[in-house]
Parts: sequence; structure tokens; C-alpha cells
Amino acid sequence: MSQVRLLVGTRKGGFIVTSDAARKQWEISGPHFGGWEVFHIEASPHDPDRLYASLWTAWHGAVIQRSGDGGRTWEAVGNQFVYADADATHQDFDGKPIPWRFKRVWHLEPTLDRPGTLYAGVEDAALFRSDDDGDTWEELTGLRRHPTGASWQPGAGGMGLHTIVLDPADPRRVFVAISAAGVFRSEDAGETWQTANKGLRATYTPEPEPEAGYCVHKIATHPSRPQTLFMQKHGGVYRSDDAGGSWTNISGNLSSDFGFPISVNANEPETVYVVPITSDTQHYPPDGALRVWRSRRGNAEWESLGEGLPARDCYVNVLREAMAVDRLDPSGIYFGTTGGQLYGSPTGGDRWDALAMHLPPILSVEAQAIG
Amino acid sequence: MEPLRIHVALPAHLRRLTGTSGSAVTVELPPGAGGAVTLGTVLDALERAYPALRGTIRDYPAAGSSTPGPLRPFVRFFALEDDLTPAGQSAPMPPEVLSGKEVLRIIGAIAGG
Repeated sequence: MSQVRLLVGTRKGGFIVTSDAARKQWEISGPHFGGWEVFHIEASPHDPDRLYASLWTAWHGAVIQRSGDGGRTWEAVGNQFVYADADATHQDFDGKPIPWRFKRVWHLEPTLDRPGTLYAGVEDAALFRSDDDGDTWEELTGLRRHPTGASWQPGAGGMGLHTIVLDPADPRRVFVAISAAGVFRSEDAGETWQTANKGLRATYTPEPEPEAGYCVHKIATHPSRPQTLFMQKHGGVYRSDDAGGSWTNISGNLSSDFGFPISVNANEPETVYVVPITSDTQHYPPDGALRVWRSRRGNAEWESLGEGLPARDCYVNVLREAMAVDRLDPSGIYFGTTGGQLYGSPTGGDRWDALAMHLPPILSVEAQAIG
Repeated sequence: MEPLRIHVALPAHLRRLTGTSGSAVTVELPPGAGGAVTLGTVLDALERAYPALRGTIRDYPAAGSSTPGPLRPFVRFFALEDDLTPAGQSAPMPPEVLSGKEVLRIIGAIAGG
């Protein structure tokens, strides 16, 4: 019998939410690391009970924890992230040069081909790799040394490397996304990088189509179609069919071109989900109605999904890391809100259930189907 | 001679990392170390006993250095109601802390939500 396990990071701790394959009854364990901001919890694809968690507080900085038993017990692993060239600079909000400084880990991504090797996307934007299961970390310096690196500027939430997408067919290909630099692609496991932003438009910079400088919020792909990427950006939903070589706007009839997360159905590689948010200054759903929008063809035709979701007076946000899918059939879709509500749909989005209503603000959600 | 046993009270966030439930943890320093015990040497002993605390109270040494990094900005250190923080890691430990009668308190500054 399969089990579904949701790994939920919140502003005040981590929670593990489990169900059997029916996905009707859910049990919540936690808070783990009560009081800590849990940016991300992710599982190893090689061992479902091997979990990694990224913690942070303003007082004590960043901590990485590892579990070998599905989150029942945890141990601290390496939290030393050293930039190779501490004197180099990027640009601050006002365009002035500012040194790179490690602040926290936004995203953990275990590799698909090597157990014990994982990437960490951090703020200030940089990519680190561990080859010893998280005990030590080394920067892949080629990313920050890209010719555009010195010009990168933070987004409103900080200059984080928030997305790492791996290609199951080619372990040397890695995509990352940075707020607000854009998408970068490596074909040599992170040693060297190219920008992958052609076709995007930056509506908030003097130059509309710079090489880098795009406020990309999240990118997602389906394992069976690694050439196809979907993006929710500050200002539009986009699609690429040439591994980021060029992007096409597929915002179509969405109620807003703004939002944070984007996910692809685990069984339908053309079925895509987003959560429209009113605007960059109004981080809540249009008209106070929380809706997930689904495109079944990965194109500009979207349908609004609201059964089981609040239809009025709802003014929460859904953050970039806070949506996930499981690989059961039909694929389960899950998302968490800044109001602490965790919603799930075992029907591919047709109907939504509230799995938890009163958690701390939710920062991240990952879904595992086990067994 | 007995080793020095120094009691250190940790803030709640750090007790989550050490997995300790009491009001203070106890770290040991070599016998006879008393005269040279500073805040920095107590933190050395604390990090040896609880490696999970590395990087959470003070920064790691800079690249190529073995000198501990600076104290983190929102963390304060008190003993006998005195704030040791301004003196930094060279602050001497009061005899009452060295004798185990008083506790070194590590406190997160009031901030955040």
C-alpha cells in the first residue's frame, strides 16, 4: 500500500503530513525544529526515508539537518557555505556594488544519479554541492563568475537561488533560477553556465530584454520531457520546448500574470498548475477568491479550479516553493498558503480538501509517494 | 584536579539543535584553565560538545584562518547580570561561572515575530 508524505516547511518549524494512497485521511507530525524558519525539506530519490531540511533564524543563521528515518529523528550536518571569492561584488537594489555574503539556503536538490550528492541553492545567489550527504559543501563557482554575475540584483525577497531543476536523461544538465537574475543552464554538472532567458521580458528594468535581470519565480518540468520547461515569472507564465533556449508567453486567459509557484502533473506532462496572485504589490488572490488554474495542454488555455477552495474574503499568498505533486494516479496536487492552510487534491485539481488549516505561514511543500 | 564544569544556558532555538531539555548544558574545560577562560574558550568547548551549534552563535573562521569568526549580531552573552557581549570573545569568565555557581547565559536579542 502506498503512502503519501508531504514535507511542509513553515515560518515556525517543519511538519510532516501523511496519508495512505486514498489521500482522504491525513495525519500531521510536528513541529520539527519548532521556532526555526524551515525554508525547504526534500527527500532523496534513492531512499525515501533520507530527508534534508534547510533551517534559518535571524539570530542563529542557517542550519542543515538530515534524517535517515523519514523525519522521526534528525541530525545537524554541514552549515558552512564559503564563497570562493569573498571580495567580488554584485549589485544592491540601488545598483551599487555590494560583496557577496552567505545568508541562508533556499533550496536543496538531491541528484538523481548519485546517492549522497546534493545541490544547495543559497542567498546571496550561489550554487553549492555536497558529495558526502550534506556534511560539507563546496561552491560551484562558475555560476557567480558568469559575465553577468556582477550585475545581478536582489528581488524583494532577497537574491536567492530558489530553483534547481535536474534532467533525468542527462545528469550533467542543470537549470537554476535566481531572483532577480533569471534562468541559467549548465551542460557540465554546474561547472560552466549560460543564460537561458531569451524570449522573456523584464517590465521593471530600463532595458526590456537584457541577458540577465529577470525576476523568475519558479520553473518546473516533467521528468519524461526534460526539454520542456514551464515558468511562473514576475509578469507572465512562460514555456520553453528547447531546454530554455527560448521562451513563449502562455499567460493566455489567466486572471493575473503574477504568481509564485508552478507545477506539472506527474502523469500528464502537458498539464500545468499555477496560482494567480493579484500583482507585485498585492500578494493575494484576485477578488479574494483562492483559485488554482490548470492548463491541460501546457498552453495559453487555462481553467479555474475552485471546488473546495475559499471563494471570497481570502487574502493569503502562495509562495514559490509551496506547491508540489505526487506521482500516484491520478496525481495529487498540494499547496500551502501564508495563512497556514494546506490544501490537497487527489483528483488532479478537480476538487480540493483542506489538509491543515492552522499551521504557521507555509514556505515550502514537497510530496513523496512511497511504496 | 577536577576539570572545570561551566553551565551554559541556551536560548530555545539552540536547545532544539542540542536536543537538551534542561535549563542549561554543562561543558568541561581542562583543570587549571581558570585564569585563561574567556567567552571564546567556553564557546570552543561548547561547540566541541555540541557540533550542531557551530555557526549558530559565532561565524566560522574566515577562509584560511583558524581564528573563530565574530559573534552573531543578535546573540548576547550574560553572566551575573553583566553583559559580556561588548568585550567580545576575549571577555574573561567571572569566578562564579568558573566555579559552577553561576550560569553563562546565551540570549537571542528580542526581535522578529
